[in-house]
Amino acid sequence: MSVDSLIEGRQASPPHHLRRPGLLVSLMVAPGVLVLVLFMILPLLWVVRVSFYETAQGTTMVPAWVLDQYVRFLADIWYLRNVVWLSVFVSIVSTAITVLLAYPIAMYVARATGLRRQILQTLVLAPLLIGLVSLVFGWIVILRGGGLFNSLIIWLGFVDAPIRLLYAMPAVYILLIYVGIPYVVMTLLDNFERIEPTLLEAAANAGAGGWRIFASIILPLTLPGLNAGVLVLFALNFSAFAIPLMVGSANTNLIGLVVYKQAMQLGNLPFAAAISVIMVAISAAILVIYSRLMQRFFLWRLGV
Amino acid sequence: MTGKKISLNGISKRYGDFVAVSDMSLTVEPGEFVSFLGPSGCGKTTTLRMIAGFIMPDSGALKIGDVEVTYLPPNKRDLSFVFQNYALWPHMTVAENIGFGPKLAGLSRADIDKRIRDALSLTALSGLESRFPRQLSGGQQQRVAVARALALGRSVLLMDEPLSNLDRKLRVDMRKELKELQRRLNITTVYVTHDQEEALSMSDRVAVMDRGRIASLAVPEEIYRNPPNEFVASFVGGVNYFNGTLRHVDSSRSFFIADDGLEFHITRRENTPEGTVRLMTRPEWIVLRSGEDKGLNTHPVTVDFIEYLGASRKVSATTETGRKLLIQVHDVDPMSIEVGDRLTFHIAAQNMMLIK
Amino acid sequence: MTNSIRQTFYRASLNTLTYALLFFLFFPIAVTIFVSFNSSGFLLPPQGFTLEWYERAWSMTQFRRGVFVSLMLGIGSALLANALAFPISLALVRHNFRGKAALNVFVMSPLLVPTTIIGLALYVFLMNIGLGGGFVTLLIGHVMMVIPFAVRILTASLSIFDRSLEEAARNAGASLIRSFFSITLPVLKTGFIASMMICFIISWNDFAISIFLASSKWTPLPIQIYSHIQFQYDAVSAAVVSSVIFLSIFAIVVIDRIAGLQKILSQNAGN
Ligand SMILES: Nc1ncnc2c1ncn2[C@@H]1O[C@H](COP(=O)(O)OP(=O)(O)OP(=O)(O)O)[C@@H](O)[C@H]1O
Ligand SMILES: [Mg+2]
Repeated sequence: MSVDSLIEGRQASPPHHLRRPGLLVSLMVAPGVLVLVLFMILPLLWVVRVSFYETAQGTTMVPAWVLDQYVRFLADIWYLRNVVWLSVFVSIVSTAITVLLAYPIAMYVARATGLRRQILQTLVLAPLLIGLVSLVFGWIVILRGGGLFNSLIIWLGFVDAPIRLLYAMPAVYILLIYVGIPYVVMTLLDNFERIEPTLLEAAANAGAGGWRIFASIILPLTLPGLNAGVLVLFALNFSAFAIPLMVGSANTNLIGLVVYKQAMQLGNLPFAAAISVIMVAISAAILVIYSRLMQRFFLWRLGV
Repeated sequence: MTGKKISLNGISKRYGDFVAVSDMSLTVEPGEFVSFLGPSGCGKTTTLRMIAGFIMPDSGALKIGDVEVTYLPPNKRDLSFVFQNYALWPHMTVAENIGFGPKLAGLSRADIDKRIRDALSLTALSGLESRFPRQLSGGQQQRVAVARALALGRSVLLMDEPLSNLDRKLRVDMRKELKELQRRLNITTVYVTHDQEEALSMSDRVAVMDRGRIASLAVPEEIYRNPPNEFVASFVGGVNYFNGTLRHVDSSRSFFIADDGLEFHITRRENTPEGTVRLMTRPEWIVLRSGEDKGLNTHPVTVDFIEYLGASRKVSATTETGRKLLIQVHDVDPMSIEVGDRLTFHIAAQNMMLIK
Repeated sequence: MTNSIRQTFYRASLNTLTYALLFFLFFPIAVTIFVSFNSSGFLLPPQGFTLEWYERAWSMTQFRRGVFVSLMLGIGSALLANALAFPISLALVRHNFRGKAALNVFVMSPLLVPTTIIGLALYVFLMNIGLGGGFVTLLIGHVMMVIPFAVRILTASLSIFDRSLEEAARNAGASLIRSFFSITLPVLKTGFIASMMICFIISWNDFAISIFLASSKWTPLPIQIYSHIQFQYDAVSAAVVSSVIFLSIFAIVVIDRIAGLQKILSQNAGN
């Protein structure tokens, strides 16, 4: 660059930064990526590493490369039955019920228009942003021994004495479903919105009745969204720990809760780490199998 | 402010393998108004944005006045830009939008206010100073965009389809206003449009662009009356073509026989070759007459179809030799025309132009 | 005729079912708020309106402390996450580079990993590098959790940002930096507010990550509430919970008005 061009600001060739946009991008993404690597990726790798540690005197960590923790969990039929199988069962059942309940809500909300739609949508989605503890508290009030629900069914004469709902499996189911519904509704709303009204009119024009339109147009077209909702919800439910921790009992040891208890209550970090790895592996395996089945039987038609 | 010359010298821009602007050279004289006219995607906006410095050319050189600006950042160029969507800053009032540039230029408060006042009165916007862009009509927003550009006090004005978002009547009014403003301020202007009427009515010269190149650069009359090639001819208006053979009769006249045998006497022009040629005439240059007329350059036709356009009628007709013609008849013509009528058409000798 | 009766019937059943489910969604929240204002607390029939539970609740130091910690966390993580997310969003929206799709997945990754594992991982890792048990520990956890939301909202508002606004500023003589601060940032203001509020409210309500990272000195409000209701549920806790709900509802309404709730929440990992 000549003195002349420096003074005049003239340049004979493109300025440097125009030729090296890569540098600029790197500078922009570096801080965020660095933070994520440092506080997400490294900790996750650390968990994997710790899962191969040994433990001495119960819980003291001893660096090693052994499979002790995995063997301890996977070779124990109690864990397999009361934790793994229980988690699979509970998460499948709660996901299925959630989806069944969320679908009509989503359909209803999607059909509303204007202010009504706005209000309905905000009402349905609000629980997503109201903290879990607040929601759980409301359910405790309803479900506990002397709570609203028990008072109601005693008053109606269905039972004589309060039944145990709270700190037991029913409360876990109720809350998993309760928390899951807004989530699935939201995933579905997107899909309902994308259905062109003309598609339905065309079907009606071709002589299809209400059910027929639903079964052959609406349902297939919302299947991808439903599927996405199911995938994420299952993963969330399978690894849930906060809900069973707050409203469950010793008999509701979902696998995520076992991780929490081992780490935070029993202080056995290597064991907790190994169970986390197992949890992710099982969850991924089930999701892969599920996706394959869906693809095989339904989704290939829609080209997704 | 006085306009400065703009010179483009072999400017090119490619996107991947696609050449958006190809080896473009052009000089716009100080105070001149030049339009870029062309179909969508021909590179008008790309060229204009390279002049403004929003995108850098891959090769070539660009000068404004005597200063080479090819790779200068946009804020270092002596020009102002009016955007197609106006690009008014939504968080600033009209006055703030207009005053932003003068403020950056370091003017005193009083000078800034004067710039704002002048720009507003030039564009007939006085009284709207404290409105936000969203509180203005489309036409008012357009004026603010122009006012903001003028307030910069630059020597070159670039406009990218500034009127395309207005309704037709406003568009026609505004183009007169813009032109007057430009002439008054004597600011060198490059104007992008795909509306041929706009280009023809406002420009000192029109650059018709085709696939990243200038297909023709000339004054509007020349572009319309004597286009150099078919692309230009058909882009700026309706057109009828005749292939045939040309012979010179004397120093002022030539004789033309079309392929289908129709004969025409035409005015001889400089550098017109003899032999096989292609001529064109515009629909409104053809005169329709009642059936009996015979004479020079007059031949019978049958009317196939009539489109009523208000100010004129577009008539499709077929000659006895089977040639299809497009004829525009102005509505002052009291003759009533019906489909199936057998009439004659006449083309004046000076109204058949050679196409290369 | 019969067809239309059937249609009406189906529609009515759909309506009824939906309203029953909406009731199911809202009942627990309504009950909590009701109890917090009922002078006989949990006991029915209601005895009248009172603010006594709120007074009692907010005179308890553990809740005040919880609010303080949660506010600090919410504000801190919203600011930090947006500061980190904005340049990334800018790169994602405005530049083409190798690994762009990968970067996109990468910054969303905190949503893909179960919260148990993030909590455990951060707990183990931060303890190991000597950062255990303080405010910073919690802050790091919360920032990780909200970064994906900040990136998503900021990319959304950047991608509808009209770049000719910046070009106009450059043309008016503004340097890159000047145009960024005078035009880009002010125009993106609502996007930033929405993003900050979402980050704040997610952090404010977080339970899953906080329970791993909280210490006795630094206990966010939700954890504080949880430990309180583990041993006693009284109308006082209803008042605290209601206060939290009110703040959340306020945020929800504001966010919805600014940016549209559904757009922002799509793909939200629940609890
Ligand atoms: N950033 C870009 N990346 C790739 N191709 C581009 C880009 N910008 C423009 N092009 C291509 O370059 C060509 C010229 O674009 P340009 O915007 O200059 O057209 P135009 O003449 O202004 O058209 P219009 O009348 O539609 O505005 C188009 O084919 C366009 O697709
Ligand atoms: Mg254009």
